[in-house]
Amino acid sequence: MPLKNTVASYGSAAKFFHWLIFLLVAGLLTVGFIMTGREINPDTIRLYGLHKSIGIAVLLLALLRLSWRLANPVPALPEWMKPHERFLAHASHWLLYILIIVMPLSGWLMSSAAGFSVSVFGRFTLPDLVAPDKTLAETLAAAHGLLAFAIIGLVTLHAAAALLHHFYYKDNILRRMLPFTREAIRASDTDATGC
Amino acid sequence: MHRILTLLAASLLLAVSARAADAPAYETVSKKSEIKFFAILNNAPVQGRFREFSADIRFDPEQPDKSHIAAEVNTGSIVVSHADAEKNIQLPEWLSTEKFPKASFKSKKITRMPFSDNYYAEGDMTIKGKTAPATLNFHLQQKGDVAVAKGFVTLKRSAYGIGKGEWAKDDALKDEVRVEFRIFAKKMTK
Repeated sequence: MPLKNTVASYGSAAKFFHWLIFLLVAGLLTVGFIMTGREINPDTIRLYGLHKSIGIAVLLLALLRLSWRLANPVPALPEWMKPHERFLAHASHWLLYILIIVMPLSGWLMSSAAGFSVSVFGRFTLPDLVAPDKTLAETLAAAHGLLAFAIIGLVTLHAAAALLHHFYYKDNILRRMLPFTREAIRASDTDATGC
Repeated sequence: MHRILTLLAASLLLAVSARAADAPAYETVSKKSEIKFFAILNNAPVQGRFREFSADIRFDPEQPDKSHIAAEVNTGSIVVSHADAEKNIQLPEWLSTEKFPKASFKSKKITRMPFSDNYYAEGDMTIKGKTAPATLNFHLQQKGDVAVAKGFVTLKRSAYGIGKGEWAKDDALKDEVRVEFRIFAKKMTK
């Protein structure tokens, strides 16, 4: 499987970013809901630390992924897709990119405003983005929570659309992002103009 | 004979009391002073401060051994940046501010480090009803009647029972807490 995307399929780099970030985000959402539902004890505090550390890792991966995405062509959407369907696809994908960057940033901001600096896996501490501010911390906490639900909603929509393409339209949209598959370039593929 | 003894005793007493009055008294200017503390939570620094405190200072740089510091902090005046944390830290498992509204330090011995304006004051720190030895390290800057003491003391929260139960021995919040102070004081004119 090639590293880079081809006209027919995503390359291994894109697939790696996609599924790794998905797994980490799923983990973050799970830990996030668990840790905020527990009583505050040392173990909960450690969960917060883990959540923040992985969150920052996702921020970094998201930036790398976005760079890769901007520097590479992507396989085209099926020709039969109508303009409004294409718009939905592109909009939801870009929104997902925005969310995986804004979400960890909002967490980092919230931590700074709450006076709890972010330590990344205990190795180094990130600078505070804002000075401690109780009201700002509360607002950012609400934002971080809302964004979590936005991500859940959008990821569900995204997955549902992929399954729709696979099982209903029976095209290769899902297959070409799956790991360990190789989509051959077919005569019917047009040139790669993208998402 | 009796008269001489009385005279001797009186003069001795005078001499002793005169000695004790040698170290001038200072009063702290709260608005220009601050007491902050730093702890490590989840490997990241968290900090707070106390808004209300006072100090009874009798200090003479030339005679540190005759100097004395007695400081008192209103534990309930604690401020931390997180609203919930500020509430919780006053609970019985932590500072127990309702039962122990004051924390204090009383110096027993003040030493000046040679050829410098650095001092250390060994004494007793009492927090939450528990007393443990503590040493204040500070630098003193004097200009006329004004003295600014800037320093720190490192405390082990476990020595005072701050953080009970699972928190007592857990490294998620480290045992050592660093208290930094900047005391701005004016010589009392009496």
